Amino acid sequence: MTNQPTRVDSNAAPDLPERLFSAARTGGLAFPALQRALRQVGYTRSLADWATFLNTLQLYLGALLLVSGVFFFFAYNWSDLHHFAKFGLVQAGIVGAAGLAHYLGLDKLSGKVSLTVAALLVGVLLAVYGQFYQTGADSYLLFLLWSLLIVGWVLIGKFQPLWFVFIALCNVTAFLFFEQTQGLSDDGFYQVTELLFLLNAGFLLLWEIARRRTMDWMENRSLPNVMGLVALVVITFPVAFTIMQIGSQYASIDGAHAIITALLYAATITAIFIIYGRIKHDLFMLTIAMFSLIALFITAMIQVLETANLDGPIALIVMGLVVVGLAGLAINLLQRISNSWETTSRGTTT
Amino acid sequence: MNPLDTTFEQVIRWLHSTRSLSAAQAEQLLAADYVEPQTKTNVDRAWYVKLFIGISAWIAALFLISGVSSLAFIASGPVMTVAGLVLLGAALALKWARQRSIFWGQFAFALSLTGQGLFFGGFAQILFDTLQQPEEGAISQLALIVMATQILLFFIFPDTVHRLLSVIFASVAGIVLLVNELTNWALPSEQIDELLGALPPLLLMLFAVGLLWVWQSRTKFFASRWHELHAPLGYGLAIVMFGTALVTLFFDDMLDINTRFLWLASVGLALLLAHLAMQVIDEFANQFTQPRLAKFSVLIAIGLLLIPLYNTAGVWAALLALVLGFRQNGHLLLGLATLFLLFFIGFYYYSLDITLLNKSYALIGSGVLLLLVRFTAGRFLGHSDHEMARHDILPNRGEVSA
Repeated sequence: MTNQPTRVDSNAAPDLPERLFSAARTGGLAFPALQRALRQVGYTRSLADWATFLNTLQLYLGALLLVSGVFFFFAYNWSDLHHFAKFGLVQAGIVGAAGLAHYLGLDKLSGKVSLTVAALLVGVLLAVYGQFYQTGADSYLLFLLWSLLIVGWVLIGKFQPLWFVFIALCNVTAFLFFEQTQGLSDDGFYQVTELLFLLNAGFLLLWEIARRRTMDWMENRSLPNVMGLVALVVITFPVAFTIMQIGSQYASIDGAHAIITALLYAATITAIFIIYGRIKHDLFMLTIAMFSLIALFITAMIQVLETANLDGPIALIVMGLVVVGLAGLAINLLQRISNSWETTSRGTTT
Repeated sequence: MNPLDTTFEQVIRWLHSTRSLSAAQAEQLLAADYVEPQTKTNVDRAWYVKLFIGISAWIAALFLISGVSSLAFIASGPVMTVAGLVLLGAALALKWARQRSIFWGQFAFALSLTGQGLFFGGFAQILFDTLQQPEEGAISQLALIVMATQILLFFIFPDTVHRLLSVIFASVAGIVLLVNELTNWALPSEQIDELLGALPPLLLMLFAVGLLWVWQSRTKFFASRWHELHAPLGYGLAIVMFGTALVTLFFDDMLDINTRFLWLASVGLALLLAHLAMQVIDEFANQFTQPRLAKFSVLIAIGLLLIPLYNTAGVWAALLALVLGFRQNGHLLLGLATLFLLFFIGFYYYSLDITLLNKSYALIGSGVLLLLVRFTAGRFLGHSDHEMARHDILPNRGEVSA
């Protein structure tokens, strides 16, 4: 064993700093020694970490301000500027940003950010087109076209923020499509939530399948967690709506869609517990699934109590106790699942 | 052997080899139980589980408060106060008796919130109805009792989320107390208005100083028996600081806040940021060829930024939290600060009293300037961003939770 420990990634060994702190708390490790150890294991930031941090911050913030400025510029619809000049400016921006991405290379963060800027400018180009030609087309078409035009860049970019933009555009397209073509009545509400659910759950599924190829850029779980959260929220709402309508004298349930959303919800919860509890180990997904289940249970209980005219103090106290019990049960379950993962991982490493 | 254990052993042996530990100390540390997994699990560490616990306790407490307060025998102020104290006492006893139990812990949390609701509600009823106190005096007394109770609960109720709420409630009660006392001070109304106008920037500064101290002392906290107080105090102060900035931004008319003093907070926060930056540069002084030049450049940059941002304290608060979060491995603080930074920058440009066209120039100019600074600094420091491409957002580090 070497005497010189290498700088370890604290993500890989989250327990290590905690163990050092724990040793310091008992007095076994003096404070100066603790500080040296923390520096050595990479817990304390190095100068290189700071350089990376500032560099990243400037890049993201600079690009964001620049693109926002371009959006504002064309939103002003400056009449003094000839429309050809407007088209020329945006197109030059797109070509410039894409060219810069090519020049810098897509393995660099700056290249990826340039490509994202180019993808955002495509939206500006379509907006300027709509401003000038006044086609009268529904605005969902703009977002649809925007999504389709950038899909190639999204695929080659291998960059989570660009994927985020793309998935957000798809969501906006789907929502506007329903709003502008069918309206958001009760039927429309069920349909739009079903579509948004299928969209986000579909992306999430594709993501998890692609992730099995162990791609570096997919390591961060922020985007799949956001997709999972959106999918679960949009499928929980119609089910809660259905529950609230049951027993109500003014009920307006679309039976077929109510059943479809309930089945989709049940399938989603089951899939989350199987995939993220047994195969992929993601505590966030399990937590939001528990939260959603409890929310539906509370909704159902309130509905039952209201229907039975039980809204006195005792019923309220019982409801409070039920919420405590359910939350306690959920956390207990999460704890057990998490412990079983740790036991499994310890078993595989020894 | 678990590779993590080996790493701990490596670190201890390395400390011994560099004479930071004696042989006996090193052996003692290795023989001790630190190699065993900590009592904290992934569930204890995850912020979203804590959020889940907090939200469900709140919902449960709302039901319980509504239920208990509508019981016929809890109609009067004194009975409510006593009932609240009894529930609070029961919650504390339960929490201490069953510290490892998740269910009883959750129950104690909800019971404590219910007890507090009844206690404060009952106390307010006693002050206003039973004792017929004048409003100004009663508000101060109530705020004082809320503050004192929350400070006490912060120390004696051993739960991170509960403590976080205590920090927030105590701060809000403190603000109410200050505003109420100032309003009723025996001074001409113009002077009182001036004082009240200066209060938001002073409060922002106060919370920022607290935030800076708590986060800068993170390692000391973690190495001491007070380690469990760090997270609720650090995040609580961040929430209160951002909350104060938001209130100042949106409710200036409603609360009659005089925004002409806001520059004070911007300057103060910028000075705190400069102080923090100087500390960071000092930390790496031996790695800079010209540390003084580095310090000078940072001061100039902050000074130049103050010119357009002299009246946007929120941006400075977010920048301070961002740098602190990065320096001290505070993942959540970093995320929170990033969100608020984007929000406050957005609001800054939105509220500029210029045309959309001029706003676009300002935005494009700021963006280009930042990218140029990055490009120049990259050339100057010879920094490559190959490494950064691995991380999609900001470089990630494991966060140690208390």
